[in-house]
Amino acid sequence: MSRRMDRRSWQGLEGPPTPRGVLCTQATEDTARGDETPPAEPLVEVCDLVKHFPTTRGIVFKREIGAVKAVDGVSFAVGRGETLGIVGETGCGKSTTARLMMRLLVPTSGSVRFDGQDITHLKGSKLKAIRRELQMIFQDPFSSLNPRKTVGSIVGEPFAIHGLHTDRTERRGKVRELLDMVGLNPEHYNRYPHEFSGGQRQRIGVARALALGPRLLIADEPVSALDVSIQAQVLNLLRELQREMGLTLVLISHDLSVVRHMCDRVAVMREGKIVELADNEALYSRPSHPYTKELLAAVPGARRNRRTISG
Amino acid sequence: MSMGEPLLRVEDLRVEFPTEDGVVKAVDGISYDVGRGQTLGIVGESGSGKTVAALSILGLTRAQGARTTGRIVFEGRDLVSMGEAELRKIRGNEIAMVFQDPLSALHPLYRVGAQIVEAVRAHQDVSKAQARKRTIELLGLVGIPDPGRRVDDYPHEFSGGMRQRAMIAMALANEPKLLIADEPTTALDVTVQAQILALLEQLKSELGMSIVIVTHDLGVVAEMAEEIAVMYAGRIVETATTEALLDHPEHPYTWGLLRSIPTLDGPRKELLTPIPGSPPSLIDPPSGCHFHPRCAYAQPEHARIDPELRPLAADPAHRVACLLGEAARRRLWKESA
Repeated sequence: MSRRMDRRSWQGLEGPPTPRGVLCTQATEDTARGDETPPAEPLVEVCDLVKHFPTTRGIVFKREIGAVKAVDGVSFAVGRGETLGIVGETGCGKSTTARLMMRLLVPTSGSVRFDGQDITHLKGSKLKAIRRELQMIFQDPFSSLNPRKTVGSIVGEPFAIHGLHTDRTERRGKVRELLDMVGLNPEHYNRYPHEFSGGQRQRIGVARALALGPRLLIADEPVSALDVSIQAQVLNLLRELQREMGLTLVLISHDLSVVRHMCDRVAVMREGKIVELADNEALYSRPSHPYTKELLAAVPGARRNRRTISG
Repeated sequence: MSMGEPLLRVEDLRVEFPTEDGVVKAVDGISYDVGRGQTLGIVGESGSGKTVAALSILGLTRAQGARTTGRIVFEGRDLVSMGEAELRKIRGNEIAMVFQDPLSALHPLYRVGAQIVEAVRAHQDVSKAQARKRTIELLGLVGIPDPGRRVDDYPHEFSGGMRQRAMIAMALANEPKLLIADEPTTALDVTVQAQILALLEQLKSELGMSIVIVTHDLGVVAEMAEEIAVMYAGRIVETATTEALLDHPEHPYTWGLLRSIPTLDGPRKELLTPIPGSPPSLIDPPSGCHFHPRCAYAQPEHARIDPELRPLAADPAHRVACLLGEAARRRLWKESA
């Protein structure tokens, strides 16, 4: 097992190990490039984050036979009010990174700091308190909403969990406000998720995420399940809300065009590592890592555009 | 389109599904031609009828109780009125299909090779050993490494891209004249998608196939197709050569599609221009021009008059179903650009 784990390092594929325990104020050496401006006052700092999922064999006597290195030493910071994009292909660890930042998963090692506070090992009421600040929008608007609850109770559930607005009329008023804010009709309070289209459901997910007034919003593929004409509606909504509420946004997507449109800085992930982290403009006009170049060249339409420009 | 008889001619195709809620007019009178060696891209959102339009070419909507009218003429034979037995000889032989989701289109309990052997032997009188040899050849052709060994793998042992390649190998088993690809790369990562599209392109030029590619991704058709048909609410609202359609689109829906997508090279705008509202119901579509409730340029009379697909004066191959005048459209497109 240890042989397998170490293969990458003895083949020289891994850079020098980042010293643990040191506060990472900048990205690890292999990903840093001149074009990146690290945020002066970060809201979130992720330092050398590692998440391995052990693979086991045997039913009664379980032995670990290896590990899936979903996230394998990732460091970055997210500035207040900025939008950080994380792009990569299936299985590159981008969603696991999001779940680690949200503390939906406990990292194998490394740390996540939110507003200067180490939240990596928070438990119980302290974790619950910090969750008010971090919220998430999920990819699939069909499976992320409970089909047996009304929209009102879905959007109002964060209040119930955190014991806020316990007065019924007050809570109802708050929920209506939220629905209005994301562009849904507040009169639809008593409807069920199946009565809404995909785009509207994603709006419900956004309303729920905003209920507690978070400072950080993590959107994991928020538009990939939506029709093209609806994607723009949801992206615009996110941008407007971000501006109004001063949100910090982490947008995870496999769609390079969406990330280019939305983000200030972009991290490209591959096999659990960030291979390139740069300012938006620099990454798209002067990609430095071969994998980033490969990704950009693979976008359909990119080749045709180049042909028409050169021809 | 090229000279002479096209390989496939679809005339006024209508496909309706009777349901409890009413009759779903999935395809509502579409016509198009596909020439030999040509690629047609059919673009539309979910619920625009593009998949049903593709499936009905092979009569695959018959089992679902669809009512199909119009004509689908393939090399002089009408596929709509053709009997099931006769159609089965064409299906998978002269016309083959690549489906969107390769995991559900491949049988999980049979080896990949066995499924391709079955496709070969369904239409060719060859021995099992010969068919197996051909299968290994095909898997090699679509770029599966070590096909002699992988032929005995089960679908779950293949990656997503490899499964899609296996699907393409199966579709190519009998060297079809026409390949219908329904969202062939939607489930795949961009780098794999690029490989599959390059593969289709290469096979097309080597084998001289015609391709009908159905997708929601304008980038994919821009790369693959010579001609594009844009579908909305069961109808073709605009059709033209790829260059013409992307350079000067005429229909407000096509404008909306092009503008609502963020690009990799254009200027970065603060906000995208979305198409308001959502795609209409196919049971009870809007009156008049089906797009008028979402159209920024709709006039009151557009709710009454149903536009026909008409050729442009300047370019007869470019046809549009829009009630705005040609001059007005040109001005609006320029203003908004």
